[in-house]
Amino acid sequence: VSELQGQSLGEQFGVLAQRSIVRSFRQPVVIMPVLAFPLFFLAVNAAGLKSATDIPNFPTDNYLTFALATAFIQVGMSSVSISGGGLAEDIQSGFLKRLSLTKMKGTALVLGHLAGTGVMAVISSILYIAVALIFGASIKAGVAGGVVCVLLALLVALAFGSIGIMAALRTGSTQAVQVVFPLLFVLLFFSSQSIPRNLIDQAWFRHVATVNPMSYLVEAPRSLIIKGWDAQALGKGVLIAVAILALTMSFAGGAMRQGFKER
Amino acid sequence: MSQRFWPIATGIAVRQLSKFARTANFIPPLLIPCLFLAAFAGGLSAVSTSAKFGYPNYTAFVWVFVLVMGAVFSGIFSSVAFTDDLEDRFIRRIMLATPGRAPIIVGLVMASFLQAIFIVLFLFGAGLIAGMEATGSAPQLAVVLVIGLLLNVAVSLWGIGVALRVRSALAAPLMLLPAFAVIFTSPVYVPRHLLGGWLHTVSNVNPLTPLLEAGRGFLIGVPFHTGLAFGTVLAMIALFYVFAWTGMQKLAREP
Repeated sequence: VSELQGQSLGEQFGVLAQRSIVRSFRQPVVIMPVLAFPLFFLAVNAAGLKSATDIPNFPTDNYLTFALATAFIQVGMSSVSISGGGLAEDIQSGFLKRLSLTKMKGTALVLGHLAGTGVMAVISSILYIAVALIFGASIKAGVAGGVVCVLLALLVALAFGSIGIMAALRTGSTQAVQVVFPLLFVLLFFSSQSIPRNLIDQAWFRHVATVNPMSYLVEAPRSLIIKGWDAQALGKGVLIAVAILALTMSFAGGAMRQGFKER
Repeated sequence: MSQRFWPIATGIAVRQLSKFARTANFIPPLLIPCLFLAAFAGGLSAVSTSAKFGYPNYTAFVWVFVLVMGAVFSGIFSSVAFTDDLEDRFIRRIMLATPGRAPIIVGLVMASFLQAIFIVLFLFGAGLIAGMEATGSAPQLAVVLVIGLLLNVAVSLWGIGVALRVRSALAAPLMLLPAFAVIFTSPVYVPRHLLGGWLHTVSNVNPLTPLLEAGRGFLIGVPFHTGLAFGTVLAMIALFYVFAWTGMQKLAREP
């Protein structure tokens, strides 16, 4: 806490970001599911839904290529628990109360807590791409497309991580933060993650997937992987991620100011 | 068998059931499979349009997986509720008052089983509402439900065994993750002959595969793998009973 006294915003961010990154990587219980779960489901879905590529007009003949984009979203979903859970622990342990006695800025606190998830998202998404390429997937937009996929995964992780931070600041409870993860999982299930929207058989599900923002978050990296450069798909995905980030950050800011006043 | 066996087992079961009702323990095993049913039957039904699929109705095909998931979740959530009794050492006091370990295990499994009956029947209704075509006869449909209930007994015993070794709510992921891995490496989305590469190999030796395939067969009135399915689930029950019993013995030996 003493390190934060009288420092600039950048320096405060640096200290808190370093703490967030170190804390995330010190907990194998946190890292392993983030790395292993999306890879497990990628492997299972690639083999289990291989026959989906036989559906007329399916956009690729390799389901692993199709499913890769979902892994980027899953790593983003984990960031809810990493950043939000970390902040909730700080609130419960009284660390945030001690921070509020310093000249620490709220922006530095929020961005610092997101740093751990950001680094985790970049490392995980590079790993998923590498594994998928080894097992026969391809990226139509090439190396630059792969880089943009990693950046999109980072953006989604920051957006979902900020939902976790908002939940932590509003409730101050790690359990409340954990509730957000299954809700995002449900949204992912009712999106176009398994089959392209135009090929979904059931009309009601197609409608749900169309109004579900998660579909567009999945379709943005998928467009790079399968079609190449598709400005519309990328634009929609980026817009939704930025909107989530902006919205949750403004809520988080309000909750933090109120919390600091009370403290 | 002691004369006090059934009164003790029933007492433990009733206590567990009241705990389930108080903590709404039955909600996740009801809700999660229903979400899977809606998501898979709605989102993936296009995979059944291929002539190679070979099953008349995708909702019915997926429903048997949903039944398995309900049975598994019910067993695991019941075992997670049991960890409270281990954390506050209630179970140690019960052990002092009982002639053996078996009535405690049977009581815990009874509670999970009774909860599972409710869940399985609810899921059957949900399947019918979702458009599941169950063309098997009434006894054949009953066999499908019995497969689910026997699986629930096996999973409950597995969960109790893990809980007795970890003795805290942190046991939940240890119960759930292996179960999840076994479920998703069985023929969940499509029949086994349509699975690719490694998953086809793993599903051939996956103990849930005969249960799923038998359930899907009976659901449409075409019995399949009956002996193998019941043999597998009974072997799982025997194996996990030993696992739970040795866990209880281990707990009894410790101060």
